[in-house]
Amino acid sequence: MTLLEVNDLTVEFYTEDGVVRAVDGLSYEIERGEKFGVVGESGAGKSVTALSLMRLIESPGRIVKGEIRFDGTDILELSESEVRDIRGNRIAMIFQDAQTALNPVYTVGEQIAEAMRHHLGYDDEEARTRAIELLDQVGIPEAELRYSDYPHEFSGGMQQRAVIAIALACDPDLLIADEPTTALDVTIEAKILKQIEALAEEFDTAIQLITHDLGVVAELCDRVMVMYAGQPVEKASVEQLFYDPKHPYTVGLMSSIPRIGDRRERLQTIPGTMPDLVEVPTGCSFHPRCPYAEEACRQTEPQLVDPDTGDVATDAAAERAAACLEYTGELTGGLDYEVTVEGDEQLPIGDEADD
Amino acid sequence: MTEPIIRVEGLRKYYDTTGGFVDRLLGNEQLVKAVDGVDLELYEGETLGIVGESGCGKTSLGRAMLRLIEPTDGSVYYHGEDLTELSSRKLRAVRKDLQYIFQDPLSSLNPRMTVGDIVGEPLDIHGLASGAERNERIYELLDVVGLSPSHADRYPHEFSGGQRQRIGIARALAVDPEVIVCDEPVSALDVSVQAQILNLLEDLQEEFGLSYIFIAHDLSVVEHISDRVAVMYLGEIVETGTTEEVYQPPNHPYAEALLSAIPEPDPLWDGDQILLSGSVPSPLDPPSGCRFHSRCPKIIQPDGVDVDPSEWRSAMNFKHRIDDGSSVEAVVARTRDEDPAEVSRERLDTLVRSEFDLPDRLSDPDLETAFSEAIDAVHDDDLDAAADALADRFRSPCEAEPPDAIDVGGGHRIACHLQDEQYADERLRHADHAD
Repeated sequence: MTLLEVNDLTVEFYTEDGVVRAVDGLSYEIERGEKFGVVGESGAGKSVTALSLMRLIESPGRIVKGEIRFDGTDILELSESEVRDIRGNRIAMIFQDAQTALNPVYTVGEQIAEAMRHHLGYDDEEARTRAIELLDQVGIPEAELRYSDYPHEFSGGMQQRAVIAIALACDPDLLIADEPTTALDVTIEAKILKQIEALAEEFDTAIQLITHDLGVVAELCDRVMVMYAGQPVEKASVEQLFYDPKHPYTVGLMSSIPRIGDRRERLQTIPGTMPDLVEVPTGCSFHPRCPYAEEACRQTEPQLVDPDTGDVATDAAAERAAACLEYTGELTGGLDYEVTVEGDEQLPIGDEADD
Repeated sequence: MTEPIIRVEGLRKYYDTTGGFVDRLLGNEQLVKAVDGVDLELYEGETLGIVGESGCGKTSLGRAMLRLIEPTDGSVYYHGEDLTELSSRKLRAVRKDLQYIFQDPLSSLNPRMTVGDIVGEPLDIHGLASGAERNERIYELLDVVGLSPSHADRYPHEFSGGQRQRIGIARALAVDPEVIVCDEPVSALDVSVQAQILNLLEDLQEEFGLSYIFIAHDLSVVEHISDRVAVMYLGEIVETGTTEEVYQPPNHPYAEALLSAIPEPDPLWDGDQILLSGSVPSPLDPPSGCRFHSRCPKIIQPDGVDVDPSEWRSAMNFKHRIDDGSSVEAVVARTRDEDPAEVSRERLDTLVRSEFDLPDRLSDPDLETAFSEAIDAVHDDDLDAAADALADRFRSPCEAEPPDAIDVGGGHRIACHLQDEQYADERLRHADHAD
């Protein structure tokens, strides 16, 4: 069953330099209990997407069109107080920087309890006991004593756990995790990811995980959307994305990460940087950095299409889509890359993965 | 083997966090031992990677080596000359050969200076070039790092993160150094840009014969760029060796855990992740003996004990919690339905076992007896007595003695008791367990 359906979401920021279209015609959906990844580099529009879901876009930003249907109701149509009932209650968010997400002048326990008193109507004692239980569940030792600690008395990993406890306090249907482990060390990252996964399973919560780290995506997600310059460029299941990527940007991202045991002398790079969103390149916004770009890419803006059939696949329900002219037959040279998987006997996705 | 260009011996950097005069008078000195007795060598033309979690002292080490911060103790020999002994005038002359690239390119570039002046400043300070020659050199440097000469008149804020890091690199290259310490040079950058900078660093190394000390928390990046690697934990180097020796397969249990924790960019990859118990202890009061013993999954069992490694780890976790705790609730958390201070002895036993993941009966009868006594004491709310009950059986050689760095061949040094011949049996236990 579909929990969240985003249709044609467009968010603009009005800056001195001109209008920045941070998110441009984005559509996707998340099923109940599903783990959905949003991948891209800084400036791709990942975080703006997340904030839009909670209607937290502030001036000079504005959601100019689109709809966000959460459990059937369009969030963009609700009154401010109705949105507040959903925020932190049915949709919760984990931010990248736990230190700034926590209020430094309230105890950690109080911040968890507050959400439950507000949304669930718990009295002080109930909220306190439940908060201690949550702290214990997210793996904070001596939860009872730690309840009355202030955020600065927690280490970075513990702060992030506390933020997770706040997010889970009201048993949300959708958890938006924006780079939840980026600021943490690998040893703690591994534990936090396991924890998010286990807790999501236990509470049957859907997750929208925003990250730039493909390793994290591979570990946690069921389906993935890759974003570039405010637009979705590829949607796929996690296996398809890793073993059979269809968009040159996805391919570039994967080949630019160093991996353990990889004996390559040089890393492959994507030349240049993400374009300034004030002046997005014409045609395909990735064409100035794309090794396969042709004249057509400068002229025509590619739509999301089904890479097998070439049919338009811009609607939210599309499972597999890529925005590249290759799949509508407009490229003459084609895409020339191959995917190799080391140390695995066989590829899980048919034979096409080696094309 | 040839002489190293930099040899670090017993380098220490302690930070004093003592509250003030009164504390000092009363002898309540609090020292953060950020770098605690580090030995390292850097050979010409190589890249030495230094990895570790945040707070392990990597950055302090890098800075103390070049005396950007004053080391507390120890020596850094550069071509046989001890940097820690040099006068500031002589040090400035030597700094021409030793440069530093910082993690955050924006905060390490003066926002009021143009890029040309930033890159030209070292030339002025060391009197290397002036006038037209200086401009010439600046353009050349910008070109080398992949920027255009026209960028020289712009200010740092006009550049993207990757370009700023290039400016930082150009500045370091200006004086034609021998050694560059790169402190997390790519961790603030997007992956695609990160790859560009890593390639640039490698090209420059080849072109100018540079030696790098590359400090990073990202093990895959370090593996990619380094010839040799040093793994750091709580101010100490726990393993040094060539990249292959350290990574394939990892030897020190800490290196092993770090490596296993990296999320693999492959959805069907199904390796066993080693999850370390607890978090990094405070460097104010590091654990006795081997500093990693409080989290080590391969902590050594004393003579006469022979149980499953994970059971032993859980048992030691229980002991540490008793040692550090002050009340029953520090051992088992209170829940909505239950207060551990109120429950029966039986129930407490069950709660503790489930909290620490211990079996219904410990597989060693002596351990079980001691454990049982400790639970009695905890039930009476007497944690000191509980600690006494455990003290005899629940102990490990790892807690008692710090391990020496043992050279296992060719400069590959591992500081772990498991490398010691007297604990050869322990190594076998883990090898068996892995199969």
